[in-house]
Amino acid sequence: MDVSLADMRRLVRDPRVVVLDVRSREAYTAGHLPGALNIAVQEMRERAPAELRDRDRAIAVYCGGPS
Amino acid sequence: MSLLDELGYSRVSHFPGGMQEWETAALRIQQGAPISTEVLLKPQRPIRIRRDRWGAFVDLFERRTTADLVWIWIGTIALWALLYWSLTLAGVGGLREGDDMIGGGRSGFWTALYFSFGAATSIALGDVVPTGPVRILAIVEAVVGLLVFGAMVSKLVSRRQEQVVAEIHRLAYEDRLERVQTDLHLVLAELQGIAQLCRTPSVPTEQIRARADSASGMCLAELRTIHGLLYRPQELPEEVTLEGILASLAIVLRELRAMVQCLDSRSPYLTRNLNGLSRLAVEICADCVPRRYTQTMRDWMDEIQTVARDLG
Repeated sequence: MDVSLADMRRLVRDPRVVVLDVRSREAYTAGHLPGALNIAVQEMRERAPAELRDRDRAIAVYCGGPS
Repeated sequence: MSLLDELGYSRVSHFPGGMQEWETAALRIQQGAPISTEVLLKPQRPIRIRRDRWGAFVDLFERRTTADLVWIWIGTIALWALLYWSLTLAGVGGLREGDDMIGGGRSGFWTALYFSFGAATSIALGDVVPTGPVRILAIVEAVVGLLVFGAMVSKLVSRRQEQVVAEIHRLAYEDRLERVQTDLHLVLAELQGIAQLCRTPSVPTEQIRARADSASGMCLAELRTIHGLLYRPQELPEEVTLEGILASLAIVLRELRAMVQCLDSRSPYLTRNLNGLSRLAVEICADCVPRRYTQTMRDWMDEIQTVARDLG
């Protein structure tokens, strides 16, 4: 499900939602959405099952942008 | 994101605008290396207790107040008395006193009520006896009456017990908070002592190093407790208390940073502790903890996070 900027601002404030940054570690370190976690797309398969154990938890995912 | 769907996550929202749109809107951005995800992502499923039908029946009593139960008990007795009396009048079995069945007047009802009390408390003396189908009714009353009476008594006892348990929990929690503050103070004194030794040229390095190792271990243990207070509070500490703890923690971390800068080399143990400290402390920031706090506390938390970055 795609969400707008306004929705995303709400999701970032919601403590029940995991905000997930799927860009590289370097891009994340330079700047990310408040409270976001970082799992790069390339590492997702390996890390997600161990670190995001609750599969029913709401997740808001983002990357660099449309371009 | 199809990859997350594939991995089995059911509630994924995708923000296609990404970092670019967020930055264009000039919204707040956070900087810094990734934090460990373990703490944040513990499954949050509610604990489900399996209930059987018998349990549901017991719960029916559990929810009532003691006064309710007394009235239920008295009501049961009165209802059964009415049943005995009317069944006797209808001629379907009934209550017999001596050789005669009880009468239909007021005295007959009193006798039925007297028998009903006897049956409910299982002390029926045998001067009034049930006959025919009414005997089954009497047994049912004895069982129901005892159940309600038992629930009433256990309610009285357990209420006191619940108060005691709550009190114990509260005391243990306050004790823990107090201990954290005392420990932080001791750690602070120790760190300052080490820093002073470090500046004295005549003291052997091994001695300083051993004390630094041990102090960093204590620091880490305290930080774990505080981290737990913020992320998994059993009870919400008073803001004043928590603020004191956070302030002490910030000061301790600052001293630790000063001490580390003074040391010329770090043992592997110290390095491990410092990494652990910075990993945990980075998660203590106003925007990452699960609750919202007052501005002063937010400032302390942000200070803790800033100092922690330098430690790792």
